[in-house]
Amino acid sequence: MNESLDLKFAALADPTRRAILARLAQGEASVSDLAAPFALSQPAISKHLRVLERAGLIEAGRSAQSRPRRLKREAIAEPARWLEALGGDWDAKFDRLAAHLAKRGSE
Amino acid sequence: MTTPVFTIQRRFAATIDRVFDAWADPAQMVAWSGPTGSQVTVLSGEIAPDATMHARQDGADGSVMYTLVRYLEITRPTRLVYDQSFADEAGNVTKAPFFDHWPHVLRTDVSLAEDGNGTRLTLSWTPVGATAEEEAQFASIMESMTGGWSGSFDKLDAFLAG
Repeated sequence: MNESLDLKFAALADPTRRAILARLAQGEASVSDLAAPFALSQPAISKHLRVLERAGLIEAGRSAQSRPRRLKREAIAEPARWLEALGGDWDAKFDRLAAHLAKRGSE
Repeated sequence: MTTPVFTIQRRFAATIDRVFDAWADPAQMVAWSGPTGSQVTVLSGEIAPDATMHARQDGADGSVMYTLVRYLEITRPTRLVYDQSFADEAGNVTKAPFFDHWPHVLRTDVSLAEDGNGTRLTLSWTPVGATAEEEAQFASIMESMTGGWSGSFDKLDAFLAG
């Protein structure tokens, strides 16, 4: 596995960071916006953001003073594709199994 | 390091026999088990104890992968155990494509139990005969196999593209 993919999987292996990504999926947000729903200090959130940035999953805007963070869409799709290629996308696989069972049940 | 074990549970709104058949009937198994948009074709073998099944996966992106599954236990309608590997066209076990340290063999253990008018499925995935490095790569990716993030990012992808 290449180093960049390794960093992405490591970054995703944390529930707080996955929640931050889910929040950013709704649009860009400042560090204080991102810290608000968590019982975490701003420095703790900043640390998570640095891990996500180093993995190339998010980026910081340069225009505004608050440097709002946003998702890098293509970068996020990459580990999902590899996980699927490995057959390790069990949640998504079970969604397909459920859809298959529902379809046969109605026949 | 102890061998990492991945486990996941899901309840399906179908009888235990129907859920079992979705795993044990090759015609059904190929319909849902491959990556999204892929076409799975059984090349040889069958789903039976001590049998080996060699299959080809044609990805939506034009990629071709081969898999080899060796069935160890099939107990209708409660349990299936099999070892799965990547393979070449001739059916020899190979390393995973693009991953340098992915375990060559993963034991998949599927248990089914009746749960009201549905079925509860418990699945575990355990590396077999893997090196420490392979077990470490498996453990690092394990966290990403659950939590619904891959599926939700697919939806996210569609949302952002639209």
